[in-house]
Amino acid sequence: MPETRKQNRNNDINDSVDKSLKDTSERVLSSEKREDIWAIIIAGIILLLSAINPDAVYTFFKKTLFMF
Amino acid sequence: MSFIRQMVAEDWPKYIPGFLLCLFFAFVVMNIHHVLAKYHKADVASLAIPVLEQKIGELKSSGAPVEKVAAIEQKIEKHRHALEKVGGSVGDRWAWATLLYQDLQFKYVAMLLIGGIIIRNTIGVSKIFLPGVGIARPLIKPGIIILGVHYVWSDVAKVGGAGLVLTAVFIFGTALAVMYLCKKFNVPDGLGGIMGAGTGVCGVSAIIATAPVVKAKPRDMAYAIGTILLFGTLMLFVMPYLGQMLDVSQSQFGAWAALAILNTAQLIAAAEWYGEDARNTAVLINAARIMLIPFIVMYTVWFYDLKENVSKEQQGLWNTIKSKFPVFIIGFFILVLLNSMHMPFLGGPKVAHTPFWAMNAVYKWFFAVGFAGIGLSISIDDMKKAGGVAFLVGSGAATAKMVLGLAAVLIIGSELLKVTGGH
Repeated sequence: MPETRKQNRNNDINDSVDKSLKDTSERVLSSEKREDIWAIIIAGIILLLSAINPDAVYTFFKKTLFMF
Repeated sequence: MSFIRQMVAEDWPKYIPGFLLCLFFAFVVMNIHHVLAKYHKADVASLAIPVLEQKIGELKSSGAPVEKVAAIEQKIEKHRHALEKVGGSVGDRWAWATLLYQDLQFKYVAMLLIGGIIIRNTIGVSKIFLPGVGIARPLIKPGIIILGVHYVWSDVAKVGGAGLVLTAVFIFGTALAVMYLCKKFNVPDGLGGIMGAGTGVCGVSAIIATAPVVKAKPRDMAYAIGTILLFGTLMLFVMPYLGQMLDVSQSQFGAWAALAILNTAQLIAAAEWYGEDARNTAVLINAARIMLIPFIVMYTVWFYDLKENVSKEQQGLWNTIKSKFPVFIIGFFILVLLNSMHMPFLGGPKVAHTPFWAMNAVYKWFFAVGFAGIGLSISIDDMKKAGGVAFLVGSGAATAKMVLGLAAVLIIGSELLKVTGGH
């Protein structure tokens, strides 16, 4: 009887490890997709700003941010 | 509204302190880099101006064409401008700047990575900063998309085509070798599978993508990720110096880094460290490589004969490809397409006062924040998680891939791997 209980407990642990791995991989994968979409949005914003005022974007990133 | 909610992590405030720390670190280092570059240029100018002036005298006395003289005069003008920036004059020397910037390659990439590692492993990074440090690394992705303005389709066809063949051979060759050796040495399928995918293709992303397929345990994932990151970190510091010692050209180094280093952020860092042309080639070959991630997942399924598991989890071929495809690379190719169309209103990275010229000024800042995130997140304790036979097989395969990759790029030569940007 204690043996069966021990086996059941091991199965439960394995199930929870599998579940935790699945949850982790799903979370990380979905965050990777989220990162990709954010990357496209950020690049789109930079393209838009550069199209509206290229000189201001250039001056800010090439001159203003360098203080010394 | 639900799309916006999906795009923002529920616990977003916890990322702010670490992200601000990376921004600050990147800002300080970029300014140090700028100062070093300025004094190095002035040092070069101080030596070059008398030589060029002497050359002009010789050309004039020998009755050389006016255009030739004008070109040298233009160079002198540029050098004088570099001297003006530091308030110096001909004869002044700033040898320390040349030593640090040129001889020791102490550029922003090295400062952010080495500085970050030193900070993380000596004074440490407080727990409050850790989540935000982790999200700074992906900022390299918008930087890669923006780099699309450096390429035209002929580059993609030429370098990307060569890169695709090279990466396909190396990816599947390495993955097959690692999986076979792991099976032979009785490494569990889960660990062998993710180690094969990780050493073959794109490091951490491939491990995460393959783990559910081969039912890898969390500990296996930690081992495999530890091995990949440890190897990538070592290569990141060793390869630029090896490349210089072996006199590898910029484009060859870019291809070599893209083949040998397993993590996108680390390989971009190594190539950027080596030079702009190296980075241009590395980015393009890396784009070809990461597009192969869905196929490595399918390959792992085939190798471990796990088709039943996959069909049970309803991940057919198309679903796997769709879910594992790196979407951001579409943005990169859209910019390559726009640049290839030579539309006057978009200009180019070297055409002043145009949108692409402005965008070209931005990407380094994204890289800097991303590199700050990498440096500050490299913990030597985490590296110790790598271990066992799988570690030996994984790092052995990665070393073999590095050596064979070098041989392949040396045989192919510089020309086929060179990005022209339409020039």
